[in-house]
Amino acid sequence: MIYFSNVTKTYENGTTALDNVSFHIEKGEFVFVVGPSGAGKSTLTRLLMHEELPTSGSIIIDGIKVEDLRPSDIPYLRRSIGVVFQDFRLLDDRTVYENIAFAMKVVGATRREIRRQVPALLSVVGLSNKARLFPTQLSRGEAQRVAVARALANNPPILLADEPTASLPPKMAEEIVALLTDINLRGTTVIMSTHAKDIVDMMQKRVIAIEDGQLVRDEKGGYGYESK
Amino acid sequence: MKASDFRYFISQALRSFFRNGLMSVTSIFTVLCCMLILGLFLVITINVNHIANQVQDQCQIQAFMDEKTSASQLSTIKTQLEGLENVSSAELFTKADALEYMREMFAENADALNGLENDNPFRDSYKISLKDLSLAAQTIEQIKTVKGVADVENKQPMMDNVLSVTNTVKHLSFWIMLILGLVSIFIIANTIKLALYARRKEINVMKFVGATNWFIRWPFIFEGIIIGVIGAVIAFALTSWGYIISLGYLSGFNLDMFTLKNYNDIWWILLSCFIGIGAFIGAAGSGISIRKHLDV
Repeated sequence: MIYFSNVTKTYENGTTALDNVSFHIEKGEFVFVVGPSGAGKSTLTRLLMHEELPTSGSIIIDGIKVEDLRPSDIPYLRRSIGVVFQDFRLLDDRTVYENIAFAMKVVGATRREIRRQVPALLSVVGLSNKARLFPTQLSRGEAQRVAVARALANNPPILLADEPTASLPPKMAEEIVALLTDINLRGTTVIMSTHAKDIVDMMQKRVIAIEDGQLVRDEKGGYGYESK
Repeated sequence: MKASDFRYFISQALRSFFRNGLMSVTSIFTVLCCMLILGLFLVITINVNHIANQVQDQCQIQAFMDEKTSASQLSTIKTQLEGLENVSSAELFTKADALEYMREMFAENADALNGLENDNPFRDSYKISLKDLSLAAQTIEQIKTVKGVADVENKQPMMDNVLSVTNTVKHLSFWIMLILGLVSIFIIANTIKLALYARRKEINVMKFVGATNWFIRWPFIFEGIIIGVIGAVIAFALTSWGYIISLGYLSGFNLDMFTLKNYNDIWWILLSCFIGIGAFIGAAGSGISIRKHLDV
């Protein structure tokens, strides 16, 4: 489903964020991307979202060669990837319901589709009773759940979670990971970048470790950094 | 564009418009000021054209006939004159008319002209109105070639003056309207820049959930158009009011030489120009800002 072939990304200031990285993620996998700050995890996310283009190498998502996309086609690539951020990025002047509906509306969903889909998503993330609240009235864990629901609003085959538990207390972080696992079991490919050693160790899923821009480990198991 | 999308863009544009209330009002006020001056020059241009047409009608060329021209020849000459491309009409001014005109000119000394009825020294002539004053010189040459025409009175210097004044006013109006239009575009571009800043989080969300570039841009374009059109409509109302007042004031003077355009004849020209220019200025201002500051 996702192919990274010898991908290198060097920024204009000369920093090489990713250096000849290759991996392949199958449909329906749950993958952790780990590594210290500045290792290149965020660059990987930006490349997947077409916010950046690789300096060399090739990225293929769902059969589409990302670097060859015309600007007008970029939004359609992004619709196939739901994104969850560490800082939630919810719109504070809209209710929980409206935040999710907004993500559907801007890609052309009809009112009927929105009326059907939003309650279903709220049910998946366990927030059916919070639909009318504003983000500032929610706990951080609940806010992140809304962000997950929004990321799933347009039924993307891939869910990209960029440090989704970083600003959450341990219990809420575990709840978010449980939610992502549940979503993964429904068939969505989940890629989660994280520093949360406990969670990675507990989950024992595939781990892609990046250090100084290079892929240093790609295997099933724990976080694995104590040994290095 | 789907109707539901259109409604959405308008609602988002209005939402942003009210959210940036003070800046929106400031922009409307700036557009209003520019459009008022622009409107003033538009009204001046319309009326200068109108007056120029009236003066043009009064700037007739007089073609004098040979002394021996008969009545039937006069009729043929009229047909030939009116057949010329730049001639709109040729009106016969007989030697008897000329004598009568002189009597009026001489007023109480008109007795000096007594006895000339039987030996009229004046000539029959045609007063010729032209379609385009700028082509007068060529038309005069053509008139001279018509058989039976003895001489043509040349009013070229006067015509040139009329054309020169008209052209100066037109050019001046054009440049002032252009400069004011650019000022308005700049102001709206700044307002939209602030709107983009205020909605940066929303734009970011739209980008990562896969909204198309135009779906993100349209609300800002509409916001610019709304500002431009509101400014234009208020400016239209004030210009109309000022014009009607001015017409009433000027009607107190006895202006035989020329008249100004009636408000009923020009309100729709003004309204369509104001709304068209306002919408264009708004869209252009937004477009510039989006191009510069919205990285989609």
